[in-house]
Amino acid sequence: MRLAQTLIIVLLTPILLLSYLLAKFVFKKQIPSWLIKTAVSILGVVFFVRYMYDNDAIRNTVAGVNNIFSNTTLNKLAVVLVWFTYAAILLVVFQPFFKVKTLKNLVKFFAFPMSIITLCCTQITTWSIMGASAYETFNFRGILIALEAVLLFVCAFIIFVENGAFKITKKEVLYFFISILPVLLVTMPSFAPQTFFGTPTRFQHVTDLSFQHRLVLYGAVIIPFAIYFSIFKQNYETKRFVLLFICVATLVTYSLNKKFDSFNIIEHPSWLPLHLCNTAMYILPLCILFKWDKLFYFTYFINVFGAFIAMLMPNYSETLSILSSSIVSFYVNHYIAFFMPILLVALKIFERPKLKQFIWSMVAFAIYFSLIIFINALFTNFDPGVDYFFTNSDYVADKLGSWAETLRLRFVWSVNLGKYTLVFYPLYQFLFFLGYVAIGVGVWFVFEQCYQITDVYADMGSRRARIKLDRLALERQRESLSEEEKQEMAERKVELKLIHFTKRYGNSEVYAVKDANLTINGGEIFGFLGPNGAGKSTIIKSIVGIQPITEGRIEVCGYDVDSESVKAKHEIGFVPDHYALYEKLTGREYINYIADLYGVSKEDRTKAINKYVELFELQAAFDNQMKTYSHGMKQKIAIISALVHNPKVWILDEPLTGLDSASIFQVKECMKQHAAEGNIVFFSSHIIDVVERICDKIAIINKGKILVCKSLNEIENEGDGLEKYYLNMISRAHNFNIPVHEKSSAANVEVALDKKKANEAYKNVFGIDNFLD
Amino acid sequence: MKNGFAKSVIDIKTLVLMQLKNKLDLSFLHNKKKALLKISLMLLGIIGLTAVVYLLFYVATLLRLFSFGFLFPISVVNVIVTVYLALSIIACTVGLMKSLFFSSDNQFLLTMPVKKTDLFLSKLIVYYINELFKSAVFIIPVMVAFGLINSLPIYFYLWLIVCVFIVSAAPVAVGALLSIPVMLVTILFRQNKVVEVLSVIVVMVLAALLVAKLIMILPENINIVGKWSILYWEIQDFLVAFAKWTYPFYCIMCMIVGPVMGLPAKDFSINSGLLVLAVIAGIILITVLAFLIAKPVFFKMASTPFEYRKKLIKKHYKNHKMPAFFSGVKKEAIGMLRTPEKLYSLLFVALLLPIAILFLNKIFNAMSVRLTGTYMTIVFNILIILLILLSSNSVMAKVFSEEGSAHYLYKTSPQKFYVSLLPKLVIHFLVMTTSLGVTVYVFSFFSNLTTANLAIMFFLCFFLFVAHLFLSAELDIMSPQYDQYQTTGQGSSSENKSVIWAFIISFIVCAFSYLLINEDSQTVYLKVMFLALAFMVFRIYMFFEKVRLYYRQPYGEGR
Repeated sequence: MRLAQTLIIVLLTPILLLSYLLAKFVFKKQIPSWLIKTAVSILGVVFFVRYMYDNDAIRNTVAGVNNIFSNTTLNKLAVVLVWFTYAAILLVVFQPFFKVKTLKNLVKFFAFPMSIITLCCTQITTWSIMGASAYETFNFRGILIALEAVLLFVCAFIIFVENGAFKITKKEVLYFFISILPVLLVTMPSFAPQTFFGTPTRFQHVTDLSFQHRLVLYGAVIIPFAIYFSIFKQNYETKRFVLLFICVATLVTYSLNKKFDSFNIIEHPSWLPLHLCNTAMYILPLCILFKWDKLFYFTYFINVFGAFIAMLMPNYSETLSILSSSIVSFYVNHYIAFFMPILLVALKIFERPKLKQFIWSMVAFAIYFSLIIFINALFTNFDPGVDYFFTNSDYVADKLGSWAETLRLRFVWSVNLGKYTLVFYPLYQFLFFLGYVAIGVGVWFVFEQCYQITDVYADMGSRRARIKLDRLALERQRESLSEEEKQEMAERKVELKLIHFTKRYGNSEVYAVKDANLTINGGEIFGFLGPNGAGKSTIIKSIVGIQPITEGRIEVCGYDVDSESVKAKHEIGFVPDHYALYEKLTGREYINYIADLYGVSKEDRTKAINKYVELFELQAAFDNQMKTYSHGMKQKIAIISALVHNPKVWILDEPLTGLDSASIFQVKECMKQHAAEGNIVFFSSHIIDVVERICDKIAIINKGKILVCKSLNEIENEGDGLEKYYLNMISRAHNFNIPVHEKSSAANVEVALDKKKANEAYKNVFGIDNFLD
Repeated sequence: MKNGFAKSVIDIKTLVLMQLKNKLDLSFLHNKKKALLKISLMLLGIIGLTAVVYLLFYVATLLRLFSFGFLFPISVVNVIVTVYLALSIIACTVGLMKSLFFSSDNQFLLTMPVKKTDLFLSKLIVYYINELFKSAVFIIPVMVAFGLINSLPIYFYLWLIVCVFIVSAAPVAVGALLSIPVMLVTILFRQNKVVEVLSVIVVMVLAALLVAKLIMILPENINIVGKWSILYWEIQDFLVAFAKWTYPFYCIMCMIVGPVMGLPAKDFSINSGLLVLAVIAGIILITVLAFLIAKPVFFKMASTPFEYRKKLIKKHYKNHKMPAFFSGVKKEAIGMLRTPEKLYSLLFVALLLPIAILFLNKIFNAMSVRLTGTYMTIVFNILIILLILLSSNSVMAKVFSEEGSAHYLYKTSPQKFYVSLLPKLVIHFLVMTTSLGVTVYVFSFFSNLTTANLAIMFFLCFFLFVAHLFLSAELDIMSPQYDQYQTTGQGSSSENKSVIWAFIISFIVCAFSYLLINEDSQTVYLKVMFLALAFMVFRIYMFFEKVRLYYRQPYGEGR
């Protein structure tokens, strides 16, 4: 066989290599990707057949002591060789199918050198796999080993050359070193730890939540988080590759104990990988590869919990060490069954399940369960130890208590099928099935809670990013200002600006306010008019900071309300449409509290309080609890609280509602006085008379759009009073099929319309001829 | 006069029916089927209750708990009925005080063309009817079960029905009389909140000390079965003494069943007849006294406006500047003092915690346990502390929503949000931390833990308390219910979630501790403490982060 191997290596390698080199460099032909894919597929098949053919002799090595090599170090090196060869083969097989840069570099700088070593050390590999007597007889497996080495080398070489040979950037080097370790960990054979470290007794007793047991349980939680956070920002292709690679690599490890002879149902009926968690190892890679979502959700709802319970209450011997091959294999299997379905959904390879998927998964589980019961009953005739999914023995009943055992044995049903007797436990097994379905529902509930949590965290992440972007945008915007503009900003002109302000509530498609632009300067009393639901309160609440902005910007004295909110709010005094006071406090206590929030000094607040208490005639009641106040008095307190810090921008939302005439007069005087000091007074109201009498400028808003922004002088010069003008504006904006086109500037919106058609519409609605004339 | 009397009767009847309709839901009477169903359900309820009480009495007689013979002694029923009547008196006193003097419907009723006397009587009658229903539901099942177990004759049950009518009048009469001083105290408290708060705190502390003293009376070594012979006679002595201390109530019991201690009388006698007359006379006397004293006060109070008297402030108040955070704490403290119900609830829980641990450990100490038992005792103590401590945080799950419309102030004020929000947590934090310290101190008297371990235990509970506090506050921040609180004053699901988390955290910590304790009892709590610290740091971070990201733009709103 040595000769056969040598011939294969010596002849096949140069033939394949030369063919490739000639085609590439002499005939300048581009190697088609299907050819490379076919080559690696053949490599995969060869590896699969070779691997599954029989057990590997080196798996029994413990602490370097083995019957293959006399030298302990050589034994360990052989294990490393076998291990790294697995990794190299898997990388090479995957590479042509996934466009992942790091994978390409892993093949170039790990798999390719490894393939050279493997080719040179084919003999060692053969001994490791087939044992010390490998070359005593001719063995088909030995041929496959040689073929595998040749194919590995050739494929790796082709990939190396096709992907730029030694070309690599510094960043790619970093990613290479970061990713090589996880690759090796994932492809590590289960016998590797015991080979290197042995099976010390102090690491036994990996049950009953002992320290060692807890350690492996922590791993079940830490590892998926590590995988998630390392790839969640990558694209779909990369994430899919990583998860598929992990599944396939761990399947290889798992299959160490599940070679072809495990599928011999006659000789070893209890060796089939039909336990729930065992099936997951095969199902998951297939689901990822072929996108079989129905089958996937079966593992998602059923396997996860089963794996969790299996890890909590493992059924292996207490005397096994945590480093032993059996334990490693057990936990690799159950880790994958536990967290891989969760990761696949978390990383959006599969969608979050809905009811339909849950129902399908239960159907699949029912089919699996029925099959298992039948198989158990049949195979028990060959091997009494057959107990797939623990439905055939008292393993689960024992954990639940004697009542379960009694229930199990109470109803037994035997069926003769030819020479075989099939024994069923119908009630017990039915309840077992129902219990698991109920657990599936519970698992779904838990998953939903976890989704909510992850959604919130994901939303938090995107909000953080947005805040950072907004800050950067603001800084860039500031930098782009001219010197004149910077000077103006430093002086903090008294100004209120809305710049393309847009507001939408929640995820509604309807805009509460769309593209509003306003500039109000110091010394102005600005009236804001509009019907109910027009968007007045929305704009006001966005200015004062109660609601966030959807698009655009609002600036108060040069401070952006979104990104410099604290500074902007310092300049604002706000009187809401419905006062909401702490009525257990006295007027004085409340005003002092507000003054503390605004950092007003003791002298300033005393001066302001005395002034406004006198103005609003609240001396007698000021030190009584506000729950004893009338509506007007409470409104006055709200006004004082908005003025105690002498804001540059005073915003009032329908402040005169419910006030008596004297109070209205007092408030108006206050507004005039405040504006006369160079400040802005911005208020919304329905009382047009008042607006007409005290405002310098007004804006009219309807259905979220600012229709007009003009001074009262301009409106009066047009001949109409404010009332008529307002009604005019509002009715124009209603949908009477009047063609309207708009021309907007930063501060004004001009509306031009078809006069003839508008007059016709007015005649129909108001009965007035030539209204616009 | 005859006409006047007839008119009074009609007026009283009208007023009573009107007030009853307002107080009770009698809509089912209009529908025969509904009425039948409701009455049947009520009867079934009474029968069910009777069955349960009978079972309890039966078990007590079987175990010879209160008597050597197969009988249930009157002295035990006396205790039950006395406690019930005492509680009824308290409920009637408070209820009548509110109904007679502070009810908002008084202003409407006073405008009716009826005599004030009739109005007063109608209120008493309404209360009497209400009390009758309650007594029927409680006294009848207890006494019927008593009659059945002692094989009393049939006329006992008929006489019982008559007695229920008489007995129901007692708490109403006493309540009407006591409502006057209680009303005066209430007015005093309403006008002087500081006096109210101090008085209530003093009463609560005294009650806590009394309970603690009672707990300390418990014997060192509880061995109920071994010392039953001594315990039995102590119980008998207590029952006799109780009957002596509560003689009026005992008279009522005797009126119902007969004036014999220990065993019930089976026949009516002249003595029992005189007793009945004495009880009825006593009730009538109290009622007349209440009528004579309360009626004039009632009219005066009923016509007083309900707004608080505004004081003419002559004192000159100054304005003071404080940092915003402390100003917020001061505002919360003022609000709490002026709405003291929250303060009372907080203090109640704060006092309950050490009392509960004292009681628990007194019981545990009286038992002899092995090492595993000692470990379990410590774990159980931690569980109880955490359950009470963390459950108290459920109020924090509505602390921001309770602001209602006033929450806009936090968003418009020129401060970082948490400067405005954190003051709401301070008072609760301080009170419960103090309570925790006292609790651990109390626990130290019963356990063999070193000072270091006690400190670890304190910090373990403290870290979890703070973590859960911020978690509860975060639940409110993420789904605020401002409008709901503004309009209805009702709670949200965040409180329930907070309580659920309290239970989950408590049980996980204790399960974890118990699992680890068998491995290493020295360091287990240190490990759990560090985990708790990490949890606390995480939760505090998440709170601040979520306030930063979500307070202005709630979850679900996109840009």
